[in-house]
Amino acid sequence: MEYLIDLDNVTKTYGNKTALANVNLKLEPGKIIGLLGPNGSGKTTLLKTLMHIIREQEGVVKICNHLTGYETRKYISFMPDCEFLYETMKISDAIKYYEEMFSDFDKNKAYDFSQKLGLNINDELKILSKGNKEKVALMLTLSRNVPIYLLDEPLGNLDPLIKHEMLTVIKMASNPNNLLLISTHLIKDTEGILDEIILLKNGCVMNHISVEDIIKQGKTLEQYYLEVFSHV
Amino acid sequence: MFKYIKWELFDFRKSNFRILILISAIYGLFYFIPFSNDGFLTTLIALSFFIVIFVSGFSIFIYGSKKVIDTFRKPTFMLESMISFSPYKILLAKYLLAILLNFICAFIFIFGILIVVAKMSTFPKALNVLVELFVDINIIDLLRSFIYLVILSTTFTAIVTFCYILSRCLFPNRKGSIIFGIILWYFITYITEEFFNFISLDISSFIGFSILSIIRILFIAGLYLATVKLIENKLEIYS
Repeated sequence: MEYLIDLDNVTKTYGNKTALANVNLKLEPGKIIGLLGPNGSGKTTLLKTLMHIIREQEGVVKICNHLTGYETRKYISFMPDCEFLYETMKISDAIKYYEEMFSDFDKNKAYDFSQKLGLNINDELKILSKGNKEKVALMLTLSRNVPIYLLDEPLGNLDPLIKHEMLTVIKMASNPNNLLLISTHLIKDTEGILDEIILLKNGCVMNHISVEDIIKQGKTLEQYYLEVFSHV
Repeated sequence: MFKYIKWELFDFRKSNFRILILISAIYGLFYFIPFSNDGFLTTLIALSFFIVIFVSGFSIFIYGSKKVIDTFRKPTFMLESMISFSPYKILLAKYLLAILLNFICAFIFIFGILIVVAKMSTFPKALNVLVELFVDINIIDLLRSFIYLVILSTTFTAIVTFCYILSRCLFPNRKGSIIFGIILWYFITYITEEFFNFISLDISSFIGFSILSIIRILFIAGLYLATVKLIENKLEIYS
């Protein structure tokens, strides 16, 4: 079985603070995996390490069996938790940018997702609400045909309707050949789409378990989450 | 690489559209409003005009470098970091972008000077002055001066970019990095210029010009490679 993401004893520290501590993970395709944990648990650091935006101090990170570097970014489509597009762009400009910069970008998928998310491609990014900017970011991210999608807090502080639309689109993007890794602390909202969860606290992986196994225990995701973290 | 430059220029054009229209309006008003009209508006237009010329002249070396630093600071650096471009290509694209933006400042400056010349004379006389200027100029000297100015401005960009990236790598905390970066920039610039003063080659001679240019290009190449290594191995984006 080829693992799309393979982390072997990965550690990252910032001065005295340990952001990631001996993280070992092997993630297969065909799953939507939730990266759950409280604020400051290392979720964003982990995603940025996979993107080679942050460098691990110890351990080995492999993406599609290649050591991370700028070349492995071609296997990953990343949605950061901050604004990252040119404010002067319209949505159609952003689509054109992605089309020119990423050879795996599917323009037709982008227009399709834009319609499903209720976006007007002639709108300028600077006039969009926070929710609509998140939709644009998600639409661009999921319109690339890559094996790995990393979504950092895609739901943020959005209203329930927008969350529902985005979760529907995320679910549509999943197939047996790709992996979606979603960092979030909104457990109730994402419960319905996740296949597995990774629980992270203080940079350590507390547990990596399938949602099916949690349900077999007669628990909801939130109950399991609270149980794990209350024992720490 | 050229697509990256294209989109940066797209952003530049859209962000500065109003400023460029304003500059065009100031230039146009300065040219067409007669000097004999002595009022507050005439004074304001004249003052604005000379401020634009002064700032554009001053910016010929600095604006491009400032924009290159901005590409590492603004939110779109995250977008840039998602692309699997080689850092060698991206940094080279940024250097080229700096040269293009410096050209834009140079164009605004030179055009302003031409407007002053045209304003001082009648149009046919101004045209004669310009024609005589171009006839008298040695094209080879002009080309050499142009090339050397491009090399000088790129040297400035390379030093500033290297200092900024090194300070970001060593001091992720912003305040520490600014102070360190400025000190490092001053030190490198001082050492570089002392070196060129020491070798004291005559730039007006072909041999002097060639040697100075080659040394500066090698210096730029060294800073370029060092900056790429820092970006590849050390530079991180925390937010």
